Amino acid sequence: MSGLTGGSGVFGGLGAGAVNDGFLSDAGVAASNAGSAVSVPFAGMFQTMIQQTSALDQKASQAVTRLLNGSGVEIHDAMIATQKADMAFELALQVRNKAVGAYQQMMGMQF
Amino acid sequence: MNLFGVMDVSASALRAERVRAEVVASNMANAETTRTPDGGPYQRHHVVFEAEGGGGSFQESLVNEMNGAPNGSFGSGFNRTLVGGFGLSNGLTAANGAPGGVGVAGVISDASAPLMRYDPQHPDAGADGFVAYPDINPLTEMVDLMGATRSYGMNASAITAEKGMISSSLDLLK
Amino acid sequence: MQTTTAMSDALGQYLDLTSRQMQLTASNMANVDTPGYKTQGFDFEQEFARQLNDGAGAAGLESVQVSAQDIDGLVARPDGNNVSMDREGLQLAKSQLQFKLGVQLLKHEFAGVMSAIHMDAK
Repeated sequence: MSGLTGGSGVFGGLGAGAVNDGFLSDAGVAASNAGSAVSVPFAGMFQTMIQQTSALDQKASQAVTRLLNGSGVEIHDAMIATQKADMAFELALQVRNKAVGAYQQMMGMQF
Repeated sequence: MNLFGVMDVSASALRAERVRAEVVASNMANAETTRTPDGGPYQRHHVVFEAEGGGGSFQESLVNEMNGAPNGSFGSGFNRTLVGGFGLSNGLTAANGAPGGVGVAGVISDASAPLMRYDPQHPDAGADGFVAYPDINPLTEMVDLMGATRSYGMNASAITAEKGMISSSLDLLK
Repeated sequence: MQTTTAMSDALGQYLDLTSRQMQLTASNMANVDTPGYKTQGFDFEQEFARQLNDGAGAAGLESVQVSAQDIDGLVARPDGNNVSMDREGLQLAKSQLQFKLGVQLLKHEFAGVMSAIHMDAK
């Protein structure tokens, strides 16, 4: 995982900026995807996914905290935010599993 | 609104309607009372409702209450601790009353003239032999009680509906 | 790569509006005996259409509070109160069902995405 972060510093900035203006607005993600296709496609996409997941997770825990504090978040909003964070995490996890599986399959090939 | 903000609104209505029913019960019980600690016959009481807050956030209403927004003054002759207790011992939130809800602004004594009946033998008879009775019509009181009961039932079913909504939003995560 | 759909955004806004409607209905019902109180409400369809066209995505965690206006066409009783218990009762039932509908549809949306994510999982 450390190898990926080096090449995608720029995309990191794009990704973080895009997801912060409202957790439901995904226009920024498409933009960063277009940018990442230029150099290292898979690494860039994966980096974006990680950042999106952590941003959604942060938004979800923020929503739940403010729900419990009574500062104006409706219960269904907190539930939706939590569910979205879960889905993004699941997706990232499955992509990671597939990537690791593909790598191991490749390494297992004998010549 | 906070998690149970909507339920606070309906709960405030339940409290207010219950105060109204208790005032009606007090009026009916004292319909023949000719002497009170203040002297004179019992005076008919009625409640005055007021709308509280109105769509403000919890923080806003809390700040308003802390700055001393008056919760109404209470009339004499009524059980002060009973009504005052509703204002002070609000379990769920620190603010008195819910924004958008209803509160009892006060319990007011009717200033209507008492009913005079001629009965010189009565211990409370005046010099002219007339005894002053409170002018309470049981029919009026019963209609008021029916109105309070109907409103109470409606708001109780509103609370059930709100509970259903909150439970179904919990289902989102299942 | 996004896991949210336009449908789930729209449903989120639908739920926000429905719960706002519920708040106003509860307020109206609580104030049925308050002298001088006017029924508060808003036009649900209009607000929903406006919100769908406006931000292509909600503004964040706290929903924009829809302003409540006085409803026209209601008869006022002698003490100035114009709350109709029948109208509020109907509104209550409607909002409750609308909310359940929104939640069910949203669950379905999320379940669809989740099953796609887990499709090949062992």
